[in-house]
Amino acid sequence: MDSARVRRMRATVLQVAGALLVVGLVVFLLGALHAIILPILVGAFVAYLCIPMVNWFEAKGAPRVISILLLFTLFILFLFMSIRQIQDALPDEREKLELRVRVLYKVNENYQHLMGLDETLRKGNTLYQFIGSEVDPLVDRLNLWLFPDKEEREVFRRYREGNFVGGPQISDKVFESYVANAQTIKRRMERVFADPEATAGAPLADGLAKPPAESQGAVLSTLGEIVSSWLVTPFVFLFLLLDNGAMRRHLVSLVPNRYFELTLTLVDDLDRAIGAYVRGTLVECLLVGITLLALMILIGVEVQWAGLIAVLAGTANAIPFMGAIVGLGAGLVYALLAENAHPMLPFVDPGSLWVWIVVSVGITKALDDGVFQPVVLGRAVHLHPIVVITGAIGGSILFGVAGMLFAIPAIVVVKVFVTSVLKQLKAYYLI
Amino acid sequence: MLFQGDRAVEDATPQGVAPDAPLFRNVFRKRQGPLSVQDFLAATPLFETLNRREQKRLAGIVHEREYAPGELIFEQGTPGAAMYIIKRGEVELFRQGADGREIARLVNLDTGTFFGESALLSEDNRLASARAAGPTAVIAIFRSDLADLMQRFPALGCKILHKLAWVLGKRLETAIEDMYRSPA
Repeated sequence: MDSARVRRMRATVLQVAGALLVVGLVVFLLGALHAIILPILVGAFVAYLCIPMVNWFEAKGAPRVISILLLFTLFILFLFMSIRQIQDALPDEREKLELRVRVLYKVNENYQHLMGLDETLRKGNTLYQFIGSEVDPLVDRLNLWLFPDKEEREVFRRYREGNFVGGPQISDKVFESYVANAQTIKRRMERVFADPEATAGAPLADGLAKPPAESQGAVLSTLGEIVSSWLVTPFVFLFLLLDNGAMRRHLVSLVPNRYFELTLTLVDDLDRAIGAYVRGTLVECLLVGITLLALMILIGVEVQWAGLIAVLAGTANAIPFMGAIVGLGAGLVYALLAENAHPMLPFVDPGSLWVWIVVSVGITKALDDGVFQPVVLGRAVHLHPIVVITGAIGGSILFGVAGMLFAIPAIVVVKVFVTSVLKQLKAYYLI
Repeated sequence: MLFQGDRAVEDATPQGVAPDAPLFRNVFRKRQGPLSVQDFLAATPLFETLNRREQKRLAGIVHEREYAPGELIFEQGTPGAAMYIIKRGEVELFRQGADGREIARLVNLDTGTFFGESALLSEDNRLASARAAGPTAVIAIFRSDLADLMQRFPALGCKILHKLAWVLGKRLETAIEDMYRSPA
């Protein structure tokens, strides 16, 4: 009897030690391989989204392998085109300078207009008297950050004079903006030195402290690292689709007989709930993006920028509340910098574009809350706003923007899992 | 789920299937050994009308389980999730009382027989418990997996549902006959 007890104790100790070893190994692997965890998750996620498509092709008579290869090709094409788009979108040295000059010019112009500032930048309207002392240092700092430093000014001059072979010259418009920016900076410095107490601690008085600009080489190197770790994504996608449930069946085969039906039911519950949530959210994001795109084009936002704002807001909409915030933020930045607004609606004034941006985002948000969510998501998992915000922040701390996007599906998995486990454990008389 | 005596079981047992019986279905078969899952499914009345390709698709979704003597396969009162086909061994079906003790032995099933098929249609609670009478291997088909397969291949679904209706009809017929025959 004693020996039986010793055997049981030994078995328990072995089980606990084994469990600790496995947990330690998992933690170590998560730490060591953290760079490829997200690419693997993304590949698995996209494969999960594609399963209904593969099934649909199969139901229409196409062999499963062909359907998967077709989707795989599309997936690779999409990845390839995205990388190309990102590479093309990265501005070169001249474009960066031009962009900074134009952005600074528009910011100063709009700020002076909004605050009713005179030529000396010292007197403004009521709004300026009310918040000017707080906002001015920020605008000063922005001016310093965006205005080219000595070396960049030299490069700008050479581009302007056409000293670089193979690249276009800097246009008159940009050059005029550059001159205007220099005058604004000069006036700002005069204001600061004329009345140092009014802007105590202003960055202009502190000297031209400026963060070093990231070189093009560093950007490309980072891009290269990202691309290499994401190479795993298409393979995860391919193998999970080709697997056709074999991995799941193998995992279920490891479950003790007593929990066999329980496990099958749990996995099915999880699959249904997550599938409904993920696919519903995807359709909702798509509808939000399309609605915002249409409204933005109607109020005069240029098509390519309207598309970009719609994509950003639609993607961010996967995180509740974030779609409207991102759409509004991106839209207002556009309104601040816009130069070519051509509204399709007669009553929209390009001068008050920001008002119409707010209206468009408001209409989109109302449609999302009132129509898209109830119809598309229906009875899919509901999460409390506090859980959503905490989860999104936690995800962003761990994995950045992508972690923020994937935090909510992860919380859905945990919630459905816990709810289903409790329900099924009771149904199978295990608790 | 109705199990009323041996007759119902005979109706549901595949004809001419014994683990050691030679099969000449495929003359190119190189190795004579235990029946494959696909062959087993082909010999089960519920799936006998499926063609080879459909049988292969069905074989792709099944789970194979092994049970020790006395081990419960499912318990009365729990939600039904899967149907089972006995690949090897013997299974006892019995009713339990409120205290969980066995109050009536319904039937003993052997190789080739299937049970728990009503779980393919609904998740209603099991009306009886199933226990391995000896070392037993079964093939389990999960309701959701089958539903998914039937959705992808409607022709396959029609064949299975037709046979399932036939089997359940036979079960009901037997139950009614036994009810009238048994003394009040």
